[in-house]
Amino acid sequence: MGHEEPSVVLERRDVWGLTRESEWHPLIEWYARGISALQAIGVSDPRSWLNLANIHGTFTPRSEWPPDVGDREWNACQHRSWFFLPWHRMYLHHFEKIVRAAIVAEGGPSAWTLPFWNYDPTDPETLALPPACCAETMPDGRPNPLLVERRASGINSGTPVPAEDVETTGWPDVFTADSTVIPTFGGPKTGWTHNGPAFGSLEIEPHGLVHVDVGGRDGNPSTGGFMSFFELAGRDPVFWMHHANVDRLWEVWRNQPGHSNPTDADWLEAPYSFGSGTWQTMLTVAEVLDMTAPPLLCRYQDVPVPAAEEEEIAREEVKMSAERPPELVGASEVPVPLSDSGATVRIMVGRPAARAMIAEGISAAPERRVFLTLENVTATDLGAGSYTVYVNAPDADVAAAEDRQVGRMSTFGLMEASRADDVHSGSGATYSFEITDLVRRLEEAGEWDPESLRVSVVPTDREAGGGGVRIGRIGIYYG
Amino acid sequence: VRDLAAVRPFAWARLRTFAWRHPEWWVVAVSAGAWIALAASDEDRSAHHVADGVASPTVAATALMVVAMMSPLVLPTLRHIALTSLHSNRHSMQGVFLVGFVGVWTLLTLALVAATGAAAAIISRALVVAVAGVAATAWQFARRKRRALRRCTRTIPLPASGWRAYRDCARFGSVSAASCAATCWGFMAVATAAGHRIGVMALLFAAQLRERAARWYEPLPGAVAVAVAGAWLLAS
Repeated sequence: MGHEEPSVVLERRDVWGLTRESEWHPLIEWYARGISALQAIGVSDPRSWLNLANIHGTFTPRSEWPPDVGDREWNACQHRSWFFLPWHRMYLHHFEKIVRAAIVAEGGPSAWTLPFWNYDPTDPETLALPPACCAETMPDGRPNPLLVERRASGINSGTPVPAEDVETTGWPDVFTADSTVIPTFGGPKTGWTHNGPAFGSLEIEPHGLVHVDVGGRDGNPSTGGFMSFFELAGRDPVFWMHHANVDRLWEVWRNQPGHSNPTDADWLEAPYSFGSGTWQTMLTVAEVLDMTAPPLLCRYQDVPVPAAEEEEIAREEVKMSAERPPELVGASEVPVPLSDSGATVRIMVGRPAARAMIAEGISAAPERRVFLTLENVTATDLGAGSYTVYVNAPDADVAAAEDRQVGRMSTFGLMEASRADDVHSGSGATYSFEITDLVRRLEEAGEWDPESLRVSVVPTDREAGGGGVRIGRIGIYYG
Repeated sequence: VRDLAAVRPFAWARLRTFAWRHPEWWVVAVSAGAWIALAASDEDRSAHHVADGVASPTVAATALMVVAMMSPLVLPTLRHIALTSLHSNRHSMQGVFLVGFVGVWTLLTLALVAATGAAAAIISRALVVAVAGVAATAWQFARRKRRALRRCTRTIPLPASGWRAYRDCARFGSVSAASCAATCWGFMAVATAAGHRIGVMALLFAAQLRERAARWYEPLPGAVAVAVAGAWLLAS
């Protein structure tokens, strides 16, 4: 199985667009046939399906790894960090290169590219898995490797992921920050980490929410869906199409006015390695930022072109936000366990020492911002999978108060973040939300009490139940 | 004069912004001061060390050594505490954390001093250094060491205000010291066997800093530092 790199820019295409042309479009069928070929290879081979999945994560103890798999090769995924997006882009490139070589060896097209799953909330059909991922057999009658039994109940028979889980609006303007309080698009600044401190917005939604939507809420790694665990997710072919879409959404964000990637040398020069021997991929972050340049040489179908005129204004806003860290003004007193119905907590807000922000009001100071954080969130189970966070919603019907909604919380990755082991400290993870606009609206309506607010965290699916999830502290910050 | 007048407010603003963004700055200053004090008294400790086999530092001297060598290791934790505390508490919370952290480390170090002192009375000082060096080197290769190292970066939720905030923060400092001791006891054993001589401490300190920046699969560099420190001591 040789591997010739493409010399022209190839396009990754929308799997539902392909499906509408043909349920078993050649790009989809060859994806299945390539996976079949890789699944037949032993795990110690860097091309094998299991080896590729284990790079992301594995439950196999280090002592049981094949001798030719080095320490660095498995359990390497980067999460809750500004490396989340570039690491997964490199990982996709490594994967696509190996699958393409397998396809070529089987007599398939050398221009094959990995399709992306563009779940579009305005197009209900795309919220379900493509039919090819649920069929028992491939067109040639062989078992279909795109079908994985260990998925959420109903997902293989056409149940769609909830439209509200794949919203792509309200992204932060900043890619990263050196604070876990400021919501970022790509995650906070960290060193190399399997265990970063706080989620970026894209990592929560749609990334984490779709993981649990496809994998289900069974938190038992022996029976739960592959997609719901860091250590198993790469075994589901949908994982790769999902991450291709997450990678595409990074391009979509970057093309929006005022958005840009970090320019820090610590980020640009960070090196990562995948695989070994002939099948080793070594890249720095800087090498994967321009996808149309070597070595990636690819682009996504359906990435809107940027509109440049608003760029300078947005950049100025970003600069202001980075001047100094936000200031804590109030927090919950004790940890908050989430029951089947979630939890509601009243937080008393104190006066910040440095500035009389609260007394002056938010509306009077346009540069001021307000943040809500759910800190040190830990989990022993996947709980309800997805929670919605509200501020000052009426007790009678929290979920109906859409205008009080401030964000979503996915439990994907929380169990891993709560474990103390070789790669995790056990701190849990932090979710941060900007609530400035909501506070302004409440202030203007005369419904904002600057010294007290009520935060509700409720299962997005009220029937889902929950348990096993605990919020260490809820904090309110002024910036 | 006009130029200077223009620069001063600018420099002050820069300094103020730096202090806002790095509220742990004063811990770096205190640690640097401790290193200077240790360097100034190194001759005395060396003389004492040679005369007595293994020196018995005072509690204050031990705490000074801990502040110099160990407090910089928890700068990310201190910054996290400061930035997630009420503005009026951000320095006092760091101080309370350090009291717990340095307190536990000082007790552990005094226990190490007593143990190495007792051992030196039975076997030679060179053998104590060699045993400490071998044990510390072996620990560098243990998987439990990696787990302990990861545990050192743990954060916990703290109340924002009131006596419980300080109580929990002091407790957090103590627990962090225990995690840190599980990681770095080998370094400290070698430093103690060496009578806390400045060169050995600096070498081991550099190794501690480096291993905190290591990717989880990278070999921890401390083994080399321990070997160099041991060889140096045995040769001197």
